Amino acid sequence: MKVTLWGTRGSLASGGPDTVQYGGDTAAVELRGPAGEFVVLDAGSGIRPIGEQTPSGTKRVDILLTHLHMDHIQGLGFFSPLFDPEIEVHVWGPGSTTLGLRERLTRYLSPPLFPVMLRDLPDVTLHEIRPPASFALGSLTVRAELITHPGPTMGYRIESPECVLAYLPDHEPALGVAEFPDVPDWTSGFELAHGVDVLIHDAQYTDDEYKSRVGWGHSTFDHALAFAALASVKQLVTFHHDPGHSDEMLDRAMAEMSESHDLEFELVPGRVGLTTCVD
Amino acid sequence: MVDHVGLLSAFGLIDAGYRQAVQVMEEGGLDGSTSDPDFLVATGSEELRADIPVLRHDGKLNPNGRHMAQQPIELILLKQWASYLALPVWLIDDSGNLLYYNEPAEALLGVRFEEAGEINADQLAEHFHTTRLDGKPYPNAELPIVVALVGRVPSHDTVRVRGLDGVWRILAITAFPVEGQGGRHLGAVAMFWETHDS
Repeated sequence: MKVTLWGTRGSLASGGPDTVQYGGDTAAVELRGPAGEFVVLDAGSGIRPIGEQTPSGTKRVDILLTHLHMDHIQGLGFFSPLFDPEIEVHVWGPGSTTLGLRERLTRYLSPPLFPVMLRDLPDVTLHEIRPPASFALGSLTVRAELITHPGPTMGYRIESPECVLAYLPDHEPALGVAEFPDVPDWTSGFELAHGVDVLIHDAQYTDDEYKSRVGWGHSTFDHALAFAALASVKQLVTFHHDPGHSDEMLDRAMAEMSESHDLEFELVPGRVGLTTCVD
Repeated sequence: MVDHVGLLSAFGLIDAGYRQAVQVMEEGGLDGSTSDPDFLVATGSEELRADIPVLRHDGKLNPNGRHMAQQPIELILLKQWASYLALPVWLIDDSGNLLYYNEPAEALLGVRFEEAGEINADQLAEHFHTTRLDGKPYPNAELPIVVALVGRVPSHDTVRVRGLDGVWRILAITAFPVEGQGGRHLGAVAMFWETHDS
């Protein structure tokens, strides 16, 4: 399995000279499975270049959406395989308690927000996930669970024989907890992340920023570290960087995190182009 | 739903009459089951989940004898909500086990959550005694908590309850079922209000 970060930014795309290293595109992660599986995690603006580099002869792509906030679906209409009749595209994601996945996605993929209707795309199959759910994509096993974030939001655990990945890009496990981390069985996302080789996790805020953003659905740097430690992961990749955080600021924060904590896992800054989970 | 009836009747919370009532509700389609024809992939089946090992952090067993796993997010958030409230709240799982009770509820139970932790359904049935306000027996099947849990509808009543500390109290009880994402019945929430009016 090979995992590559194409979009790492949270909330809003923020290109420019200050975000070159960590990236300005919103959430999109490419995953290549050992049996040729082609999976994309989320469809933020970072999914566009993934589509541009899709090899000829590709027959199928599976897109796993964690939730339908704009920074996670904005790139969907710009993913070129969607318009290629030779490629099957399967989109997996959550419905809500009142609307199905199709109805929810159509709110974006229809005028006036987008000129092309979802129904006009050549070969797209939607799979509404009702969590907790487990399913297979080729040789990969995927598990989806609801996690703490406003609106129906899932985290994914994806297992291949060689590597286990947990993807929780938008996650606030500390919400409402008197002392975080809490015990594992009362911690959002614990089962998904427990013991994985690689955890890609929300690390949007500083402690000061979080004070005025409690309940917005995201973690601080320290929350991400504490959650990774609780779940006994082997590697933590920081993700969903705040649009206002520059490369310089994030480098400084990563250095402070490493220096101030006795980490029992590898801390990896989530920069665009990073490749991990390589067999 | 049948599983809930079996579990609850095993410790005397449900009598034969109530079992019959539940059967009528099930036949009438009131069990909350879903059959959405547009649902392309229903992936949450036990069959599929069986392939994935249950993760344990400490090997501890929950009150049902199952290995503890992470609670559903809906229950996690309800626990957090309850922990901030000043009125007594119980959080009960789909098998009738008392998963969590907040600090105000500790006074009713006579035991601190930090000390006792979860209380299984058998212990609850054994230690709590309920009557109507006039002292007559209260049918277990009509208890608001049981109605919310088994009937999956909200329920409210005012009853006399003797807690673990042996004190009789008059309590208004409001209970509602916890219906989670994807049509999952996750348990019930009960809220209590002590009153001195009979």
